[in-house]
Amino acid sequence: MLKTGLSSAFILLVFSFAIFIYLIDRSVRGTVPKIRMISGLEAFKEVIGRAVETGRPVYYSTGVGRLTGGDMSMTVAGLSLLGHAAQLSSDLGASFNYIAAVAAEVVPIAEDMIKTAYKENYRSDQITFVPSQPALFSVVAGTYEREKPAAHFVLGALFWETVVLCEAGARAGAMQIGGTGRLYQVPFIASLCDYSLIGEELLAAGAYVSGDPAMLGSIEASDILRAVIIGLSIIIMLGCAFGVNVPSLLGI
Amino acid sequence: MNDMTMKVLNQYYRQIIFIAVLIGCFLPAFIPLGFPISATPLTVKAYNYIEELEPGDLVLVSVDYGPNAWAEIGPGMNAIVQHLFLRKVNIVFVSFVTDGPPMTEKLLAEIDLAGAKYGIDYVILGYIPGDEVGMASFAENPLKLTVDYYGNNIDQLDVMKKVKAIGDFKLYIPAHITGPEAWIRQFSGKIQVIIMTISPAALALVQPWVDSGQLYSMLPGTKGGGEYEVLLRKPGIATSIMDATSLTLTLVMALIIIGNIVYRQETSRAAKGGV
Amino acid sequence: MSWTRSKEITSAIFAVFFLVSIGGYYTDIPLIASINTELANWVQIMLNIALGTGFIALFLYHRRKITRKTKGYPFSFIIFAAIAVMFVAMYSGPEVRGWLYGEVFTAMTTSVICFALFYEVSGAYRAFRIRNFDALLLMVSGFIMIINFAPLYQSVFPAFGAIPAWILGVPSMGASRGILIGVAIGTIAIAIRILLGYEKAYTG
Repeated sequence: MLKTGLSSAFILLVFSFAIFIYLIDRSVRGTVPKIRMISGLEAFKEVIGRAVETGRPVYYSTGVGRLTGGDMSMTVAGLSLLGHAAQLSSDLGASFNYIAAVAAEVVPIAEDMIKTAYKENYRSDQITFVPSQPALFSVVAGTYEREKPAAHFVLGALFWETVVLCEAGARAGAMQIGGTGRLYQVPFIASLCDYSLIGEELLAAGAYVSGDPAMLGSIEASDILRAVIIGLSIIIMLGCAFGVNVPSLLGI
Repeated sequence: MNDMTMKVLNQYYRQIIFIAVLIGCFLPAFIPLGFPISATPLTVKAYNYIEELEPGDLVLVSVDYGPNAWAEIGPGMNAIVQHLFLRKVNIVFVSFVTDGPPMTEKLLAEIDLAGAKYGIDYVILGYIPGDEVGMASFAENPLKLTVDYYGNNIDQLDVMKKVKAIGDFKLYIPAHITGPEAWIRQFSGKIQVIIMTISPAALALVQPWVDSGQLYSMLPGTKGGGEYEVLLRKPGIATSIMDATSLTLTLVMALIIIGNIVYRQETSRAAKGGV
Repeated sequence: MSWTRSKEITSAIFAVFFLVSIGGYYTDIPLIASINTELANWVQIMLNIALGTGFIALFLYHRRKITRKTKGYPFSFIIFAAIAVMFVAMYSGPEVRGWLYGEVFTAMTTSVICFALFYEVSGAYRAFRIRNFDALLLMVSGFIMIINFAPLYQSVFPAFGAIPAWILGVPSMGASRGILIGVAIGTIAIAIRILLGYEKAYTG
C-alpha cells in the first residue's frame, strides 16, 4: 500500500502527528507547558517606552511573508507579536503603524488586532498595504525618513527587505527588534537590530504572548520532536563511526 | 588619522559609501578591467552534464523569477540556456510564477538561439497557476495543458509530441530566488537531474540539497553565470558584471577596515578622556 | 446561511484535502491518487478565479479613491493607465511587449531592488565594527564570504575558493540542515493546529 522507500518517512510522520495531537490536546485541557521568557520579548516595553518619551511613532512590519507554506508559522508568530506590540503601544500612549506587504491576507488579521488594542482610537491609516517588495523598499525608505520612528519591529517571515527595513530604521534612529526563522536573513537581524529573536525564538515568543494553549502545546511537541531527531542523528553518526549501518537496521 | 579626516568619515560615511559603490559599479562599464574568473566545481559539474547531452534530448526549464530577481538570476540563466541551445537539445519552457513567461521571452531575446525554431526545437508553455499545486499537477502529467503560451495547440508542436511523461526530460533547470524545497519535493525522483539557478544569498540553504544528491548542481546567480560564460567561451552580461562585483566588494572591504580604524581611534580617545 | 461560515465546515474541508494529499503522496492506492489529481485541478481553477477577483478588487478600490478624492488619488489614474498600457502591449506584438516589459518595467524594478545594495553596504559598515570577539568573528566570516563572491581573489589565490567552500560545505551545512528540519517541524505544527481547529488565521 505504501510507496517504496517512503515507509520510514511515513512512520516518522505518523509519530510526529501523534506527539503533536497528544501534547496540543493535553495543553488545551489544562496542562499548559511553561516556556521560558524570551529575552527579545522583555525589550518590547523598553523599545515602545522610548517611542512614548520621544513622541515619535512605533512602526511594525512582518515583511512579505504569506500565510501559506513554510512561511506560515513565522508570519503567524509575527502577527501574534503585532497584537502584543499594538496593545503595549495603546496602553503606553504611543502611535502605532503597521506596514503590510504582498500578503494581503494578513491585513484583516492585523486590522482586527490593532482595532482590539486601540478600540475607538483606531484609525484606518495605521495600516499601509504595499503590493510588492520593490514598492516596500520605496515606502519604507521614504516613510521612515519623514516619520523618524523611535521604535521599529521587524518580525515574521522576512526576505530581502530585511536589510532595507533595518537600515532605514537605523537611519531614522529607531530602537529595533528583529526576528525571523529564515537562515539567510538572521545575520542582518543580528547585526543591525538592538534585540533579535532568532529562528525558533520567534515562534516561541509568538506562542508566549498569545498565551494560546494550542500554540504552547505545539512548541512543547516541537521541542520533543527535535530531541528525537537529534537522538536519531547521534545514534546513526556513532553507528557510522563504528561501521554499523544503523539506517538499514532501522529500515530507513 | 587626523581629527578632520575622522570627523568627515563619521559624519559623511553614508555619502562616502554611496560614492564608493557607484564608482565600483559604473567604472567597469566604461573601463573594462578584465579581472580573471575561474569556474568552481559545481559550475563545472553543471557544464559537463549539459555538454554530454545529445541533440534532441528533452530539457525542462522553469523560469520562476520576476523582474525584481532578474539582476541576480537572469545572467546565470542566460548562460546556461545559451549552452542548451548550442547543444541543440529540445527545450520546454514553463513557469510557476506569473512573471515567468515575459521573463522567458526576455531571456530568449538576449541569447543566440543558434537557429532553433519555435515549436520544433523549443516551446513556451506559459504560466501554470497554483504554486506547488501547479508543480505537482505538471509533474504528474506534463500534457495536461492543451495550448502553449501563444495559444497554439500543443498536439501540433513537434517538441511536445516527444513528451509522454515527466520522466522523459533528461534535465530540469528551475530558477528561483529563494529556496528549492518546492521544486525538489515535486520533481526530485521524477526527473533524474536537476540543476538549479539560485540567488547567491540562498547558497547556504541550497547546499544540503546538493550534498544529498537531490540537486545535481546549482548556479549561484550572476557569479555562476560569469563562471559558466568562461567555460562556454562566450563572454556576456554576467562576465561584465563580475568586474563590477570584484571592484565593489573590494571597495566595501576597504571601507569596513577604514571604519574599524576610525572606530578604534575614537574609542581609545574616549577612554583617554579626549573628545 | 451562517452554517457555511462555521469553523467545523472549514476544518472538515481542510481535513479532507490534507488526508487525501498525504494519502496521494505516501500510498499507491489508485482511487486516492485520482481524487488527489482532481482536487489539484480544482485548486488551480480557483486560483485563476482568485487572480480575476483580485483585479476586480483593485479596480473597485482605486475607483473609490478617485470618486472620494482621498489622499494620493491622482496615482490611481496612473495605475489605471499603466494597466491599460500593459494590457494592450501584451496583445500587440512581441516587440512592443518585449520593450515595455523586458526593458522598461524590468529596468525600473531592478533599479528599486538595487538601491537595497546601498543600504546593505552602509549596514555592513556599521555592523562590522569590532566591539568584541563575536563581532571580530562576524567580520572575518563576512570577509571570507565576500571574497567567495568576488571572482578576482579566487583566480589569484585558489585557497580563497577552498576556505569558503569548506565553510559552506561543513559548518554552514549543519546549520542549514537544522533550520530546514525546524521549518518542517513548524509546518507540521501548523497543519495539526489547523486540523484540530485551533488556528484562527484559517478558521476565524
